[in-house]
Amino acid sequence: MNQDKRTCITENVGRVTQKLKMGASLSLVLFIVSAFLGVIANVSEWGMLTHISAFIMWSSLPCYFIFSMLYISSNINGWPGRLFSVIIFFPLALFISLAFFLIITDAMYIDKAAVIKVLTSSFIRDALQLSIITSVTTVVIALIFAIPMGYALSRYRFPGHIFADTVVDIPIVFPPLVAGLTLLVFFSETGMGRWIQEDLGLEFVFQPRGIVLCQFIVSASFAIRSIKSAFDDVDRRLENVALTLGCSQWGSFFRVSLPMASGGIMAGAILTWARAFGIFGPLMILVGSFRGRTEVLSTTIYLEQSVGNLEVALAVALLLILVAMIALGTIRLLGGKALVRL
Amino acid sequence: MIRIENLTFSVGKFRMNKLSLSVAEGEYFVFLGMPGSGKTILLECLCGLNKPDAGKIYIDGKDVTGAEPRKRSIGYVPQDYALFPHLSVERNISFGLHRQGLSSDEISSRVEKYVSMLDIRHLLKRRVGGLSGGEKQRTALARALAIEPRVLLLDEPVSALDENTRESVCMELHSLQRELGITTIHVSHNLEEAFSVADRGAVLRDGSFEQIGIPDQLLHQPRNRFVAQFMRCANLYSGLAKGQGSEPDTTSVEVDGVGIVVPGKHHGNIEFIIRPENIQLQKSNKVKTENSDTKMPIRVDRISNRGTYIRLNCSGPLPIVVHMLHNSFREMALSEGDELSAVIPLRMIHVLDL
Repeated sequence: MNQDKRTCITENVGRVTQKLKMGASLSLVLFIVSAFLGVIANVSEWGMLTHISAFIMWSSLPCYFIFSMLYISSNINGWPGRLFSVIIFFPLALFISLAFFLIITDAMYIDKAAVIKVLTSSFIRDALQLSIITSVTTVVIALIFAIPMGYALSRYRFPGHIFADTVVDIPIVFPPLVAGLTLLVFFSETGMGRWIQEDLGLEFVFQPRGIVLCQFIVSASFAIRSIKSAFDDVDRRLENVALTLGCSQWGSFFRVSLPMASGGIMAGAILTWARAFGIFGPLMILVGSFRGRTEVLSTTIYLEQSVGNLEVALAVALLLILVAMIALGTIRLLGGKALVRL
Repeated sequence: MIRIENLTFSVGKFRMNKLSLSVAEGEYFVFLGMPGSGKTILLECLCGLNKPDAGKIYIDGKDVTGAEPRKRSIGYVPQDYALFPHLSVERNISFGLHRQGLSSDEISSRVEKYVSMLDIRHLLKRRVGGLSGGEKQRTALARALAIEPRVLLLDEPVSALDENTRESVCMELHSLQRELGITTIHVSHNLEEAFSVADRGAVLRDGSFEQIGIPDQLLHQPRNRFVAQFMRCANLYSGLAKGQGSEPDTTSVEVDGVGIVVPGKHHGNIEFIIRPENIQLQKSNKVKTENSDTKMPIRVDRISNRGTYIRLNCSGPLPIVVHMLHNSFREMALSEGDELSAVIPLRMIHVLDL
């Protein structure tokens, strides 16, 4: 009898948990669908639908959090534990809400004219193209540097390796604007910079090349950091075994260490790309923003808002976010378990 | 087969000083030592993973001191096995074979040979992540053996396994080694494990060999105090030699006012051991003993069951520890506080080199 009762309770609890989980999933789907619908309705200037979608959207988000929170705490015994999980969960909910709130604000502010302008203007198409080309180039160059650097920092102990490790982080704490300013001074005021620009003929200032350089300076550290920690996680003994099994140092690197660090390398590439894609401060200083030549999406946003086209600026911003989300999503899907770790 | 001459290597504060050793073809050799004694570092020197500061290493008559690990014809199983987690069991085992440039037929027949020998055919398609400790150990062994090396180097190959598996795996390792006739070096900190496999062994401390010998020598004739203690000999005494004992070629020694006769001729301060399992206990005082045997009255202070044997902590003129097997313990029906006499045969006393 007692046994029966207990089974019954367990089953009930199981069913409630399942319901809570389903509630959370449903609210999330509802939120995403209504958000899309709301944005489309707003751009298409269907007033009624916009209001309805907005209402559904802002009510399904709290529902999602409440369901998720209840779902988590339904698997925990005792009130202190549940309270703990709720308190831990709360900042996450708040942060996600804030992020969505900002994106939706952008989306609700733009109008039909701005969207049409963004979709039809050739200069925005050029900027998008240049953004993608430069950021991908930056990622490739950054990986060419970061993979050996990450490996060296992870494996070799040389005098001052802590110093080297610290220097690698400097570009992260460097304000991006300062990076651009420094590069400009370097190329125009120092002998070495002038030699590179004038004698070597490698011009960076006001050139698309300069975009890649700026992006590389401010974003490569992310790749190095992430790849170093990926190599840290590869047990040295694995490489040792590979060496005894007939691999040279090169072979053990390419057959063991590199495949095993691929997750971290992917994560580093994502971080680098995201940073490179969105950076704009140093570009304004080093390469300027010439329509059709050195203009990228992030500088377009600045230019548009500086002449008062707030709607167009925000529409371009949405385009930037959209491209970024598509890219990140695709890489995540392709990369399987490639998780972003820092 | 393997010869080390004056091998010197230092890393950080650790220093391995002028080690020399020679391991015969087909021998199963064990490096024994506490953690930090340098046995793994020595093994890595043999692998070619550490570059020695001085000295020579010969494998199969060839000087390999400066050779790359892959040029040494060694099979290496590191601690915790270091299986490649991104490859299946089959790819792990065939990893070295692909590097040797064998044809796919040769590779599959070679893999087949060793998986059937180690009885792991059912694991071939599995990923490494889900294997149990024993399965990982066999996979790592198959991977090392598949390249058919001249020397097998095992770093703590069974210490990650549970007690029961460890015993059976040790037996299997031993018979496998006999079957293949491969020269093997096995690093261990565990006495039972070492004795179950070793033909010969070396006890290491702080980067030097304390003693090299067959297990029986290490156990019964330790060279010094450290080896005796490492071999868990609790009865270690030091005393002053007083001249010849009752028989020729013996010495009478005074230990804390008690006279004991030890074999051999000695002068001055000496140290000697008596293995706890070699002491005989007798209930009556009137049992006849040979002249040279030492006999002393003792009292059983504590009895503790150690699983395979019983340990008796006794007091008397000298504190003494005795190990007994369960059946003789039951026969004597001992309990704490019993007064007995202990008989120590002369030849069971071993005097340490100082």
